[in-house]
Amino acid sequence: MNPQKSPPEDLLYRPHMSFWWWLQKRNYFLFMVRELSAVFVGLFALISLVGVYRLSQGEDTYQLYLNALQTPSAQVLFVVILLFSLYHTLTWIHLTPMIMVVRIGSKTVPPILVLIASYLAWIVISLILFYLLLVN
Amino acid sequence: MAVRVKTTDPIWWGLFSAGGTLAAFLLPVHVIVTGVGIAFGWVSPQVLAYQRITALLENPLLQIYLFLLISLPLFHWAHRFRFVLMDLGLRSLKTPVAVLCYGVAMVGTLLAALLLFF
Repeated sequence: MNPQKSPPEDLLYRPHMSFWWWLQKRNYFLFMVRELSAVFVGLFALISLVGVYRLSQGEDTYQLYLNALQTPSAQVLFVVILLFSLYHTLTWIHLTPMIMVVRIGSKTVPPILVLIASYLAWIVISLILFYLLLVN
Repeated sequence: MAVRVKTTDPIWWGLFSAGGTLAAFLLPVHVIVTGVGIAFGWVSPQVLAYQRITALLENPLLQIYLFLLISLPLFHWAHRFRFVLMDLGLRSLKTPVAVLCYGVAMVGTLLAALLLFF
């Protein structure tokens, strides 16, 4: 038998994973929630894109968009988007110290300081953005 | 010796990462003000009034800001959602899934650019 020959398809090892694997452990579940937060992050971008499109169609059409933003279904949708958006922010900030190793000279800045700095940056940026969005 | 780049992965990962960072730091406030705030009436819809937004978008910097606020999170979604679909069993459809996800982000980006810059 020729050892170079690739094994028949049915002899290949294929781990079987249930569609529901992410419900089997708490960590798997939290991983899936984190990954799915991107759906709601993307959804907010899409809603904004619709707004820009409506804006380009003139004031009357844009008003319909603004009205839609104030319906009960919009209330539910935006609360869900906000929860996932905050979860995204927390998980993203907690990944920062693992990805970004900060060195000053030959010394490595402790990861906890990188984490604190990220939180501070988020708070400062948020306050400035609140001000810019709400004050003319 | 020249290093040959064989995949486009770094591009998608870069856009994913940029979108994730932008969303992490900026999105909660945008969702609170223009999403939840307006929906529940805590923020005046005047914040998004036609005259105000069109006047603000005269500024090229704000055009670019809004463009990035739409485009980068779409690429962030595309990359993560692609792997969610594969983790949920679509590993055999690797290429169509990638084309679909990044394609949606690219179309959204193109539309945002056309609407905002032209």
